[in-house]
Amino acid sequence: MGRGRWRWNRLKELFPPGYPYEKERGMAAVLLAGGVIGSLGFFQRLHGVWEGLYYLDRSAGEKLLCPGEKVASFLQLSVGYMGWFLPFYLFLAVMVVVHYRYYCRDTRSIYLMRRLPDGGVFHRSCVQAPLLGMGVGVVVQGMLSWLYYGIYRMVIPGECMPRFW
Amino acid sequence: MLEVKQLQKTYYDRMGSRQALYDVNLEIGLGEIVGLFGENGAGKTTLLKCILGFLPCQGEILLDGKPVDRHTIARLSYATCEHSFFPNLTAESHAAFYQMHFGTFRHKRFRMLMDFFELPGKVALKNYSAGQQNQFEVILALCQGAGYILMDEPFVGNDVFNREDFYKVLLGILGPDETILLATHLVEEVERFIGRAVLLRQGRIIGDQTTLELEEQGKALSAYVKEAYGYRADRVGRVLEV
Repeated sequence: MGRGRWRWNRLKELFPPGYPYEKERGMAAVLLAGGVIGSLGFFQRLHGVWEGLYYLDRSAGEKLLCPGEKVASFLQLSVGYMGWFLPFYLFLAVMVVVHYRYYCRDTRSIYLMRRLPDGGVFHRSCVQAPLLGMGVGVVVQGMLSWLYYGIYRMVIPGECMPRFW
Repeated sequence: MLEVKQLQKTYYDRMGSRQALYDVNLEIGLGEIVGLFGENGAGKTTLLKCILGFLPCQGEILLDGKPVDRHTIARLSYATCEHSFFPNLTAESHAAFYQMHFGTFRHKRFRMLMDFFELPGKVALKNYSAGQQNQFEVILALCQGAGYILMDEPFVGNDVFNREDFYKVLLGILGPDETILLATHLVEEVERFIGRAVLLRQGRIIGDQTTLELEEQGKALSAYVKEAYGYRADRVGRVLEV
């Protein structure tokens, strides 16, 4: 049996040895999806803001832009909806503690981890999966923010844009 | 050589403080098999955990003249009745894990012991019986490739035949450069297995004799332990008389 045998799939290696990571991965995926879905509320708000920019000219029978009207900045509009990701991050932070406690559950495998010549293995096994999850969250949030910002720029007429985004 | 110098350990809690070890001095040479005896709460487990660096303590612990740290910790292995393996992993996964982290892992010995105790290699350890789990815990400690093997009541829950087997196997496989420090209550059982007995009482070493010295004095280990602890054999008789 060589070193090569210690090859689980890459994700497994990020967790403490033998840790039943599937549930945690599933829960994180659900919370991340919840964040994405929750952030879609931004469009409802954007729609309301966009509608507020126009008034109905009854004589012409069409919607016209309110003169001098400015919309709220993108940050003001979007920041609340990005809060939907908070449960995801909180969950991952709690998982760090759960991973540390795993080593004292059922057996005291912490005694083995603390005896490893590479002292970093113990701490890495507890934090690296949640950190990776947080990284994924940040990337997803970043991509969504750029996407939403692009849509915001497309939808809002230039003259209604605030000075700062 | 494992040297413990003026080791002191105090536990602190809300109720106050309690000293568990008082100026413990101990030297264990390479190749020795030492039994560490003492009543519950004598400080046996605390002493082992201090040696391993699991508990903060005062004093000095040296392994071949060097402090126990990241560079020397692999020279110590530990088998405990609390178990230090991962219950969800198989024996084979453990071997792979040990091999990855301890360059000195003795794979041949591991195979031999697994075969001898007929332990399944592809079954998660949580599905082992309590006795098998104890056996596996000791196997890991013996196969890590450590010079100093610390054991804390490793055979709790194993039947007497099983324990007997283990002692015999241990004597057969241990090399001259392997040291064992075994904390146990099974005084009579380990008498033929150990070469030296260290007695702890209320955090202090109250006796330290080799079995050869005891033999020369014509004393059995159990008698020596009873004497050192001031055990009164007439105690039971007096109760029964009442």
